[in-house]
Amino acid sequence: MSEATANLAAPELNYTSVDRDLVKTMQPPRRLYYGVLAALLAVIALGGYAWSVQLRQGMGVAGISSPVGWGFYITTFVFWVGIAHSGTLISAVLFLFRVRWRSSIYRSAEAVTVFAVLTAGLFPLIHLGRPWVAYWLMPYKQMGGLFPNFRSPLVWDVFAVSTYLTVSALFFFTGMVPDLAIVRDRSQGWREKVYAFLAQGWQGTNTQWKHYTAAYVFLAGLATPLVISVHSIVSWDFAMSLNPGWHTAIFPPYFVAGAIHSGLAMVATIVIPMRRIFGLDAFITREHLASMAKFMIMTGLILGYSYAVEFFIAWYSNNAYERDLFFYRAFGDYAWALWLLVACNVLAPSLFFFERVRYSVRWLVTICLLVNVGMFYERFVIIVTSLGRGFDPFTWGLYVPRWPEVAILAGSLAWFFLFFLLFAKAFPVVSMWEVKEQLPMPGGEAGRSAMAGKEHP
Amino acid sequence: MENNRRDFLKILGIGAAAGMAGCSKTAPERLEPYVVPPEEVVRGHPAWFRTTCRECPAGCGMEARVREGRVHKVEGNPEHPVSGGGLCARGQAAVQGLYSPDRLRTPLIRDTAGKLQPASWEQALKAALEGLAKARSVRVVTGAARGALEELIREWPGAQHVIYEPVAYEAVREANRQCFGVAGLPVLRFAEARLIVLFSADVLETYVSPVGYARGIQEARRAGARILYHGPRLSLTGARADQWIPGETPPADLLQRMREVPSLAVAGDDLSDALAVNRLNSEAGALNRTVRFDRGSALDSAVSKFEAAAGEAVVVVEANPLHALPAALRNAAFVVCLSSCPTETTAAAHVVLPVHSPLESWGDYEPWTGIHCLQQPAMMPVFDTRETGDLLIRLAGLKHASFYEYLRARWRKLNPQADFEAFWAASLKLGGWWRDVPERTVALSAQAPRPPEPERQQGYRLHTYPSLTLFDGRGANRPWLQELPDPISQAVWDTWVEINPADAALLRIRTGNRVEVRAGGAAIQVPACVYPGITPGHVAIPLGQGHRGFGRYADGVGANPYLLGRGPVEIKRVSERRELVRVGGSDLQHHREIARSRTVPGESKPEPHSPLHDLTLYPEHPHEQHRWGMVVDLDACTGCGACITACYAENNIPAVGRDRVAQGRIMSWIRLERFFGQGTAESDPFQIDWTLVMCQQCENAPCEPVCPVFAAYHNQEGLNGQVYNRCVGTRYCANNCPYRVRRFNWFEYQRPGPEDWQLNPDVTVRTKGVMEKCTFCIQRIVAAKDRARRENRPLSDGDVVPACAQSCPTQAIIFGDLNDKDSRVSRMARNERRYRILEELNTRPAVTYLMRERRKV
Amino acid sequence: MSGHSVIGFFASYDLLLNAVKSAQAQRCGEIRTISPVPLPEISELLGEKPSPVRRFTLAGGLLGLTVGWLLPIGSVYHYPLIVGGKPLVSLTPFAVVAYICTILFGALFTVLGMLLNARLPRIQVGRGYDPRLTGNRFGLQVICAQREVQEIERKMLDFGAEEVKYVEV
Repeated sequence: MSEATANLAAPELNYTSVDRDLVKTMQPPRRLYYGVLAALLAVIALGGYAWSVQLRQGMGVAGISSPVGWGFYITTFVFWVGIAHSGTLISAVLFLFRVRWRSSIYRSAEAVTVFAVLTAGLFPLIHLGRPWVAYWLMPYKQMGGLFPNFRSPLVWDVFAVSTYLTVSALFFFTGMVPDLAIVRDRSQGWREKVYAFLAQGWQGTNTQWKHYTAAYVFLAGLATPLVISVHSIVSWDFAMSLNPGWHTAIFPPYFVAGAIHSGLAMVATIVIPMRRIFGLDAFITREHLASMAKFMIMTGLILGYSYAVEFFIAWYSNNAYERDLFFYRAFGDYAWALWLLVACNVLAPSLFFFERVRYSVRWLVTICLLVNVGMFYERFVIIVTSLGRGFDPFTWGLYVPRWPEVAILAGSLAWFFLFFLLFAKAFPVVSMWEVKEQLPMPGGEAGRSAMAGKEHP
Repeated sequence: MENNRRDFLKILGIGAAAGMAGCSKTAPERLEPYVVPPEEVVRGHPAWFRTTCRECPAGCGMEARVREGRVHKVEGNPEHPVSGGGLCARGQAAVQGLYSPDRLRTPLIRDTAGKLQPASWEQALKAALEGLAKARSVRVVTGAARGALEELIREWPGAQHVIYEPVAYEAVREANRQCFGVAGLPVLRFAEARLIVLFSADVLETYVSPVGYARGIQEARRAGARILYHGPRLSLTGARADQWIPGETPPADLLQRMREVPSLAVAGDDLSDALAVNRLNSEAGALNRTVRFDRGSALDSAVSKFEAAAGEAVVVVEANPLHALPAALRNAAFVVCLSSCPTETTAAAHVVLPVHSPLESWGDYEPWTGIHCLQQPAMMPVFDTRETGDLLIRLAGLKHASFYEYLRARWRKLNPQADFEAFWAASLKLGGWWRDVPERTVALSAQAPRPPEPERQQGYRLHTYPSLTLFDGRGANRPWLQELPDPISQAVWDTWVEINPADAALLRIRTGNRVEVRAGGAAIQVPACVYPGITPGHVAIPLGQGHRGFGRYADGVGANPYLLGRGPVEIKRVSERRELVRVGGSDLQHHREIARSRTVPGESKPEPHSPLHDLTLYPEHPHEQHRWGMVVDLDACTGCGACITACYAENNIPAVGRDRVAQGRIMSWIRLERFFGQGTAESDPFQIDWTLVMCQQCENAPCEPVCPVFAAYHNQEGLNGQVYNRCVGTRYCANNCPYRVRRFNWFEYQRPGPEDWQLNPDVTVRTKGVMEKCTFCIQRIVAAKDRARRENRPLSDGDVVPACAQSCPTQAIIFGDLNDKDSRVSRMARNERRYRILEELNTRPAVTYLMRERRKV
Repeated sequence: MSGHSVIGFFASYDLLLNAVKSAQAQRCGEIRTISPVPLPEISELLGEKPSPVRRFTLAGGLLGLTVGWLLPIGSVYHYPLIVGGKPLVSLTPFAVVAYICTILFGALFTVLGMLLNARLPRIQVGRGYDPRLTGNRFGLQVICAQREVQEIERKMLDFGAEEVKYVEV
């Protein structure tokens, strides 16, 4: 059995069953779906209400103040941007490295990316004091000749996140076109018209495939540096400032590793229930999940190393401000958050060393949820402790989140899951054509797949 | 009357307040700019009226800045002999008394059900006259009012005048009477002393004439004077002193040290301290030199306690005895209260007559014999109020045409030789008239008693002291003062009890815990403030809060320690919740050298300026014309907070209220950072250091490159500009400021009318979502440049004075052009005591600090 | 373009592969395959040149690089403001913008290149297109003259097609 099929355990998978099983996921949903949909909409409405209160009264309804001018909103922003990264990692980077087990997960992962970026994109608006003039961050000539300040990391964020959204969305959509053709070919009535429109007339001729695969490779190649650069740019929101605990060169790799870590956890958190509900065990096998878990061991260890290096350098540097701040992180007002996040991000995924844990769905879900929580608190600790414990002891202060921030955080989670819920019913959640690529071809030699003949374009 | 005034103001060329056209006494409903203004009103240009500050009995000279008929700010009168140009925080907040939204707008008469109902002037005056006629006797209660008002009241047939001041220094006057035969306060010539000894006398805060004393002490300091503070409580004045001798026993060698140099000892309001001090002054040769009795004080006839007799009618004039003496008017048959704002006393009155606030009134005040300070209205009355003097003339049934005429007649008598109109005009322009007085020497009487031994008592010895911000309580309805943090406790909008850490540990009290302070039958509950600067066995509570009926800013805030009297108290913790709202994170500097000080002689010289500090990768940016800079002399700074309140007034900074300060959202652009010692623990001996932090206008400002929309940028003159209408509110700039001086508008702050009349038209009022910070008063820089351009001359040193620098009684803040090597700021920036805060971050701030010195005594 | 074509449906990849080889050998006309997965072996057989999409990518990347530098540099000369003491043309932060623009434009042009080259989007799928071709069948399409249609159809069946269809192109 070739390596390709080793990752696809079910021997009965063939081209026909792939189409059938995956198109079936897009059937009209059961009542539970609508119930969840309604609940998510309610939570989003609550978040929206909180935001409307904030718009009317001012940022003061939130818990941020002086000195901690950034709190939950920026934490959540970085949290979502981070989650967005593993999607691209799985779709683009693993593609370039020809890692086989990506093919059945990557569609959902890419969906997680796009929706996470869409969710993250809300927060620059939400955290602004005057969001009605947020468009001033766009790079065009305004107010008689002024452009935005390209030296500011926030403007880099505008470029990076919008580019990331664009490229991910393009990649996502482009990757889906052959699948949309499949769905089109199996739909009737208005659905057929919609999918026909979306599939853009895809036939699957060799010329189309030629250009398509070339574009796919280049998009993957372009998306790869994005994975590294976007979260580096977001990390520079902090690293470009002079606050102790922020002003450090370790942030780009630290944040990118953290992003991949949290992204994998979120993908797993979504994919595991989806797999159960849609009955996709044959497509997303325990091998796939175990592979993701192994990846998380690596990213978790990188994070553990990063935390250790940060503390070490703070001590080694003999810089009083850095030392004081890191001491505060470990033993001060927010020490509980630090130890929580170390346990969740480093210790918990280390359990994946054990094979039993890797292959157990329950352990996977638990550990991935813990990682998500831990990654949220990682950003929280970074932001709040550094701002609250600055250079001048007179300015030290605490941060306590208030109801609008919690409501908006919950709303963002609901917003994200809502997108995914809609996506799951509107589009195939597993990439049919790529799974087929891995399968032995119909009527071909046993075990030979379309991928076997693949060379570099 | 109005026309006469307008004409002669035209002569003087000062300019008249707009709105003088039209002689009605009712305030216009809307103020609109003129299409064709009167000749002397130039729109956009302020007119200045000199008057006298009446926020406390010190009587400092004051100038009111008036634009288009509204007073926006008050400043010190630089030609005034008492204050010399400075004005304390309470003086700056005088405009909030003028524009208080709670001001009485109509007369009130108590109806049969006992509630005060609005009435017309005719009805109220009629009711008042009836009530006065029916009473057996009349007592008129005012604050210190020496001058025309006091003389007028003396003319009231059958009326007894009580000069009531809650802080009347009766113990000091009694000691002076016993020692020198003069029952009055002396004139203190601090400038001539080289050793100043303070026995719990808070001369830099509230004692008699703090602005004047601060100025004198600073002059002495520049000449090398040393200050010693002795007392059980380290007040702000004591913290500023070179040495604190805690406890109740003065050092034995004090007299000897006082003899070595010209010296001066001052006592707070305690009889045994005052007797000791009189003896010291006499034996050290300070008497008749630095302590003189040539001039009597306006407080010499003041009392801090009185009680109305049965059947008496009491007329209370701009005083609030019921705050400190709730039972004072218990027996009175009839009470008429003349007041600008509602108070506890107006709530108990039968007839309330609203009067002009001091900035709307004519009058005079003689704080010291021969110093005649004149008071004139700076604007038309805001509400339908009357001149106090006019009402008293009516109530007393006197025959004078008006108080204005009476005042002028009195001044004619004061200086009979002069051409009166010229003299009157000159006095209005100067702010008053001061004359020399004949010398008078005194000597220590042979019968002068020795100071009694302090008695041992059970319980804690309570010290109540007039608060730096609220004085005796009259400042409590001014939000700027409520929000001005007390420098010692850093608390706002509250009363607290200071307890020594050892005592607090015994009682298991932590800062903020609610505590009951009981003195016999009376008890109050206040949060505790654990403070190493109070001797064990003693507690201290500031006066001024605990009002009822004093307006929205004062009611329900804090507690009233006047109720506790002077005896010993018991302390008991009531609740563990932390309730004291304080600004400020840590009390310790952790060796970060924010507020530096050095001991002289003794400590090493400050480090030489390292050339490494000047290294930069970036190109030098030339400042071709001006480069604005500031020097803050921490040895001159007394921590009084005048600069902070002046900044609020000048720059339209909102007072946000207690809850929002608790959330860390205070809006002050300049703040006092007060630390205990330099390191990570309170030092021994206990020392307090502080510094003033405002936007440092850094050359390498970290806030500028991170703003995504260029709302923060560096201008050609070295200022860090904040463009309000460009700010989108990301708050990255505030996060990147190592000094954390940037303030964000968390809400759209509302100002209930007529508080918004105070807003400075030269400064934007910021909307919610926008960042703001100190601008070095750029509006003043621009105005000065405009003036210089109009007058066809270059800007000279001293043309630009930001609001903070202007108000400082000791001129601790110096501002000017660093490009001019001879300017005062440049010279001071080269002083050997100089340092910059967080210099190693290479922000290159434009503010240089001069270390505070502690001189060994 | 108008013409005539024959589509043969193959249930097995090997049959398709041989059919393509045979069709080439017999010079049947223009050959296309239609498949649910990309077939790189057949691509090579058909002698396809590498896709020109990569040139679009390169062009887009270069354009992005240029725009990414010119935009910030132009903006600071247009309205010079000093911030933080930094030089007016701050190359390091502008490099970040240039980097991102390179990727953005590269990606946009790549997709554009793909659409243009693959002649997508199409309003309608080509006539004669059969839904099974996205499912589990491979299609071999030969475009020929009308007179050759019958012969091609017969050859298809010889090659192993389970069904043939005539389609006007």
